[in-house]
Amino acid sequence: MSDYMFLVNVGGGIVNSASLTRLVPNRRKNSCAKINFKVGVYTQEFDSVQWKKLDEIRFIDNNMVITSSDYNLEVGQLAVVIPCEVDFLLLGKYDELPEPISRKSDISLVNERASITFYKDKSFSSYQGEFPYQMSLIKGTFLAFDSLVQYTNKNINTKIVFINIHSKKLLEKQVFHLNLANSDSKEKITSSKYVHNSAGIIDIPAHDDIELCFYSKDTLGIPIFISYNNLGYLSVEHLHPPSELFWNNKFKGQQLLKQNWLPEFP
Amino acid sequence: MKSLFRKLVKFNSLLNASPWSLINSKFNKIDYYVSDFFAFRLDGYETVFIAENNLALLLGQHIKCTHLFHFFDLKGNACGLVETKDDKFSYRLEINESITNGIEVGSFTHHIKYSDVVLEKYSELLTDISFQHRGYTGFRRSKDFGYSYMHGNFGGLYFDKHNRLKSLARLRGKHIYTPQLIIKSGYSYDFLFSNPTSKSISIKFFLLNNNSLENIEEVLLPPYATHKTKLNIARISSDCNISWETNLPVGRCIVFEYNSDYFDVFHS
Repeated sequence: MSDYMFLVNVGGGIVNSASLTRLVPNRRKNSCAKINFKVGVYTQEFDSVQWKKLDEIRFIDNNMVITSSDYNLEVGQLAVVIPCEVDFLLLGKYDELPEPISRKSDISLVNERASITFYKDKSFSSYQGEFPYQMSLIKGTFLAFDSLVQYTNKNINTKIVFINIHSKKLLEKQVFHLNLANSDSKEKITSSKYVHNSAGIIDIPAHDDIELCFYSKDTLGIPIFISYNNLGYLSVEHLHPPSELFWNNKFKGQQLLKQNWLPEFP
Repeated sequence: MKSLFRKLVKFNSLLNASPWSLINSKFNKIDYYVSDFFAFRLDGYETVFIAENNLALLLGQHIKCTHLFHFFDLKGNACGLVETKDDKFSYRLEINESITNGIEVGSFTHHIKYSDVVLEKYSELLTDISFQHRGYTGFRRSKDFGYSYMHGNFGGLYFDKHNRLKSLARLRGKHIYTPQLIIKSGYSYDFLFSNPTSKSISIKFFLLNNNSLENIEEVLLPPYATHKTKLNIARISSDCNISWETNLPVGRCIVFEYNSDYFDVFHS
């Protein structure tokens, strides 16, 4: 298991960074404490199926910080951060994204994450995030609920940012839909278009005490909720995938849940 | 003989990496709903919790349930219980000192009960799946702002048929956990660590500044207890990293990063 990281331009003057350390995130006491690696930063333009190298970064000390505003990304455009061996030759262009290396020094369990931080003026919010390589090989579907939508303060804006990375070779760029629906009636409220290797973004409209859900019948992805106002408040968190609602038979549970929801939507 | 030795070494490595009881997670699957171990703080913060109604989410329709929240103080002693009925997909609990009996910092679990009628109606569906309660905890310092949320990250706690708190989390060999976090000068940090196991754990915190290592604290945490380690702004002269050593195979905690105007919270 290994993981990509990502940067995204979500618009609204919000800047995104990813912090990584070469200290091994979780290890047995006697295992190696550091791992040497570098990162490649790649993007795919909205109308292209080719990955283009934006950057190649090595550690100077134990930490590195990569920032979205360094790469002139359009709103919804992703930059994928790939941890790789220091002597790995990163090409200028790829049809298929290289597999990220594992940053473990033994078999201790850990998701190989970065600190994904969003900034708006002086306020900031972060979470420990990644995009698993295994997820980048599957097309899948997506369903999430509204636990992180803030109801109580009408002056707060919330947007869902739906990160979709597909590392295999693409023959064409398809247009997909990220949808917002009423959880009770299953009626669609709004939707937003996205393509492979980009972020779908919906500014969640004001709503009165209705339960919402988010879905895509086209691809899987990671949903990030960003809530903010102009007074210095910013909060970012990602949702658990539906499989985390289950202890025994996680994936059967997730499959049943999606079977009960997705056919109900338009 | 060599092959047997290799197998034993491999089994020992796998066992040491497993955060859960191997018997209860692989062979004899438990029939209880399990919960993460969440933290609350009312010492200058407000805390809310978003609890999910798992069966309602599974079925895609509202199902009446009883949400149960058990609260624990810093020493791991029970200090409060909330029981409430609801049928929506999620339920929002505002945690205050009347719920926690005046306790400002501690931990809690979330479990759900469904009526016998509901369990009977969906018995076939629930034959080989069981629920896990993860949920989202929100913290804020000012009513002018919204909450900053983080999802549940570790626990495996359940109440047995005698209503005794049990844990599927297990202690293993010593592990060092290092979050992907740069400790920055100009900020202070609180690390909130809850023990989700039925045994005491020792935690050693240390700062890493390039190649130097500074021990900052060593604590012994009783079962289900919570500890707050504070790293004050004055102590951080330049960017560095923090690690901790415990017998938990995945030793995560909750990190608060703040200055006088802003704060951030996330799980490590």
